[in-house]
Amino acid sequence: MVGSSIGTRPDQDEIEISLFGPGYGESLLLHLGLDYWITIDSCLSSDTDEPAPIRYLKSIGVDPAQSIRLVLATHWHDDHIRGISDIFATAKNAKFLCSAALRYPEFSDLIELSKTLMTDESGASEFSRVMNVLKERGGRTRRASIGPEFVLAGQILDRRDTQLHYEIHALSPSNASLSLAFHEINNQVKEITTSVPGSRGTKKRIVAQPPNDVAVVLWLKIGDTAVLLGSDLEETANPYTGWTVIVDSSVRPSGKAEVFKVPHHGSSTSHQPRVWEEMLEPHPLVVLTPFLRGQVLKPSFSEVQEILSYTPNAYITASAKPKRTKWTDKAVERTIKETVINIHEIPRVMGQIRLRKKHPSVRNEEWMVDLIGSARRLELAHA
Amino acid sequence: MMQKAPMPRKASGPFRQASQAAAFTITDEFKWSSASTPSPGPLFYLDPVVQTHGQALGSNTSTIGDTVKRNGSAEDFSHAEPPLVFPKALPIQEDHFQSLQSWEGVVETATSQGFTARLWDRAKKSPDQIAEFPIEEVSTADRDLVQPGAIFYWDIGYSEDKTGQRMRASLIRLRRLPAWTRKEIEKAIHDSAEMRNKLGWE
Amino acid sequence: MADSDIKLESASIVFLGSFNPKIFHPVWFASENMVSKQEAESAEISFIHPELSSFSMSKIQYEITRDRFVIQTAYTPSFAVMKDLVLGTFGLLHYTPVHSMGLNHEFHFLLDSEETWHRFGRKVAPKEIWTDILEKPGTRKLIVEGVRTDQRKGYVRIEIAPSVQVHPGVFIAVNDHFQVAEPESNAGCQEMLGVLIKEWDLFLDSSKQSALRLLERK
Repeated sequence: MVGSSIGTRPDQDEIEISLFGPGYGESLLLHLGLDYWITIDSCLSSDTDEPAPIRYLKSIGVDPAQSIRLVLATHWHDDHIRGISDIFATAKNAKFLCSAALRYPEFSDLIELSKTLMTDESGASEFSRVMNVLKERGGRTRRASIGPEFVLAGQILDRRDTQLHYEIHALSPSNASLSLAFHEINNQVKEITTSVPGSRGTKKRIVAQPPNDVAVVLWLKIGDTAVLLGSDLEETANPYTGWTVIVDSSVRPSGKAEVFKVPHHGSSTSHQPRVWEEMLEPHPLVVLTPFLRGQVLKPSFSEVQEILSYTPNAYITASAKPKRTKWTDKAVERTIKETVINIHEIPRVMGQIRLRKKHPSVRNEEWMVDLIGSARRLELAHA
Repeated sequence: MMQKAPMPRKASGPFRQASQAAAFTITDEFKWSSASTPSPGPLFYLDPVVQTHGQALGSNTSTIGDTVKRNGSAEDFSHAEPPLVFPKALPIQEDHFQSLQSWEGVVETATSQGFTARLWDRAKKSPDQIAEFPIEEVSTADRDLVQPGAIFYWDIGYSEDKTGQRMRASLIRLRRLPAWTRKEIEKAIHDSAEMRNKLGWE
Repeated sequence: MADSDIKLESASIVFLGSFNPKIFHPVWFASENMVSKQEAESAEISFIHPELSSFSMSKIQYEITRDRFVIQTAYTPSFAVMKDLVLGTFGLLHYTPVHSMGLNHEFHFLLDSEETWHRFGRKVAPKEIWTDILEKPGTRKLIVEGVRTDQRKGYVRIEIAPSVQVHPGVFIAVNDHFQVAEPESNAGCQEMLGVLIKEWDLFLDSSKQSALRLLERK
């Protein structure tokens, strides 16, 4: 798999899948031919306010304002949608889609409550800004519903039936996971609205709580090949949620995927062997981002080995080994050491794994893989 | 072992000069001049309240519309007549903190033993961090506030008291904004319904 | 010049408008969870009166009169806390008539020698034009005002004076003054809070940079 020239845009008949991370979060950018781009989630590298997909598109000479046609938020965790409102505001021709689990009025109550926090750094506040953009754009249309479009398992979100065919299917969230998500959101709203002012606590940032029941998993059908984008969905003991319900679904598209974006940073909590056996080609091309939070490091060494046991064609956007900042001031270094249990930096350099190939209707070929920035082969994740 | 830092030379004179009219003569005024040796003057005050109404004594620049927290300075005591009797002046801050590093953080996970947090450098000079703290680093009054989403400030530096005693310090302070009021909640719910209606939110 | 040359540093937030001083009491702040009960209990109270409230809590001084709300501290870790106290207070009292806000940041810099100190004094206020008008002219205080560059109403003022706290030292105070766009409306308080949220951190940094740059020109 020889890489292509880094700074060039894909050909009109070329498919591209780019995964960015970590910085803070992860995001995907897809080119489905004919200058038609889709973004899934968002992330910022910690040294810039520009979302990684926008920065990249500009660097290869693509105008994000015209070319991004669909912006999807697979869930509302802070680490997956930082900057998504900027992407959507830039993408003047795009639709905005998100999980149907966020359709409940209680979620829009949370969005409004987040505005009173006097800070604008949360998933809820990103959604708040997206809604503002929708409202502004809505004035110029006559559609009954301005948006967002809510995604549920079994829906086809987008398709092109003529040349360079593709279909985007949603495999989740299931109806059962909608109920769980509603429960979590409703609890947060109740905590705020039913307590007595002054008797407890103070305002705090509104954040999504684990586990992730709302994430949108996508099946991308391109000609006669397929790509499985796993978002952050975790496997659960509940037979009506998680990966099992997807594998057993009678409405999921047939076939096996040759590319797999591993869910939840390769964590064992998202691992379902039946996905590998029943939904993926042998030795698929696998991509993922790391997750580093204190003592929680994903993928761990054993999780890396688990993935490599299925395929040698695995790539990660950055090292999964935490890095400690070297503080020039010794007093700061000493004090940090005496105060914290552990600390590591969030990498400033964004890694990108870029996959390209011609649309199968044009030519049958393998994916070309480019590893940009801190991206590397998965076996080097802990090097 | 922490060492006491050398103290800067302070202007001479008593700490509180309001009652010492003799100190406020022309020759005691503290000013730049063409003379090579300036004379010392009165010490720095946080301004007594009475000076915030209208012009400060001797000041020719302050107005009622000023939002300067007016400082006492040599000119305020430069007149020949004795100063007015002031209410007790605000105490001079005697603890000085030399900040070496300052972060703002958001709690991501919390237990009774400790919490993890994302930190960002307020001076934007170093990368964002993820850190895990033991709960003992938080003052007991703030521990109930340590919950996911809570924001806090973490400062590292040297604290110096009025005697010059210096101490290396790590200060964690949880951000306190009053909880949502009934009015805020009602407005949010109202605005939420309005937003959904406007967007045709199905 | 560097941060280490700053020997004393203080900041304050001043609101001008119409206030009821007697409601501002440490107990009130604790009841709204803006400070802990322990902080309120150990507050040092000078006055709580319909015309004036004056007290200090946890290294922050509060002074409220009928037309002025001032909160100030010389303890740098409390700068951010001070902003939150203002946001919290006037988030609750959002109906308070406010027509202006001032952000203040003050420094006492220690210079390396009296010669440097004199040279800076001569540079900021050349003495030549005074020579046959005043005997031994010296600068007591210099205030320079500039217009805002951010389309908001108000001004920026910088005061320079010999430091009366450190010697040889320079006192520099930066005052960022904002005026409400429409004083007759009752949205002044909310407008100023919005400005405070956006500007406080930037102000602390830019005012320090301004002071350091001035001293670089000595």
